[in-house]
Amino acid sequence: MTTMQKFPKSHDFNPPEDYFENLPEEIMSVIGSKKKTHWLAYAAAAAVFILVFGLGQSYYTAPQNNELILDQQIDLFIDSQYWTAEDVLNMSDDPDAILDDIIDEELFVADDSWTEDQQIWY
Amino acid sequence: MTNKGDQEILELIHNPKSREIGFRALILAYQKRVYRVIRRMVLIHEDADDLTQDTFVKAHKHIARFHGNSSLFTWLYRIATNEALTFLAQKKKRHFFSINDHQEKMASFLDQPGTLNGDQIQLLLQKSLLKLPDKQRLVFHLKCQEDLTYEQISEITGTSIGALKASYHHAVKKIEKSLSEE
Repeated sequence: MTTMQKFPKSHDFNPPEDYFENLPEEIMSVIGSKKKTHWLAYAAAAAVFILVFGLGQSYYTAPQNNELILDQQIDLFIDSQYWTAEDVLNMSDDPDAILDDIIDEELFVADDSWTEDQQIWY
Repeated sequence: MTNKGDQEILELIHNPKSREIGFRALILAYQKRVYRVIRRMVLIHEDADDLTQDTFVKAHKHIARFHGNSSLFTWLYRIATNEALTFLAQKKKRHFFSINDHQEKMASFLDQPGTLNGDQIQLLLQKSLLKLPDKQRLVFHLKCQEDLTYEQISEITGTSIGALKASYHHAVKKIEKSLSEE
């Protein structure tokens, strides 16, 4: 008996009625809204650049306070969703390092003796 | 290689005047297949809906970089399967589920009335599949349920054909064992 005969095809999980009739419009609507808010991300990035540049001028007089203000400003932009996670990564010098830190914090540690294939596929 | 239908869609998309029409045609051509492969992985419609939309939004963002080295189908499937796998990985981490907790929750979803129309064989198969690692489960679905060739699956997953054959063979053995224990 072949594998296909042993394992019958699964019935497709049925979506709600009219789902596929409405889906194209929903997707195009999301794409359209992303285009509109994209310029906001650039404006926010420019504002932060000016802020950082401005703060940098007075850094040597009150370096600790300026760094705290900058961190708070960055948090504000992230919390208010002016910046998405993707925006923050794109503005970083080393986005891979940020992602590695997040993965190290959250992901359980696999057995070091496993190869990448073994970790993923078995 | 793109087929004739894909070529027409791409021509429409690459022309700024007909880009939207072309992309709608792309959605209409592939929405059901994309939804189906995602739904088989994440099971829950609301999650599959979000990921299907995310897939096409990403496709829209990157379609200019698509040069026809693969078919539109495998390119879209690659985005879709990556979205599904990333979602499943994040879901487990976000809720601090152990792998067994996550399996139990997904299995309990399958037990809900109407999910699989009372088909007991399908229910057992789907629960057995949940015991596989997500990527191995994906390979099983692509090979056994979607009837893709190993070459196509290799393009979608970026994995060698040899590794895929080994993974599929392992998956089949595990499922057979799991079903025989029921």
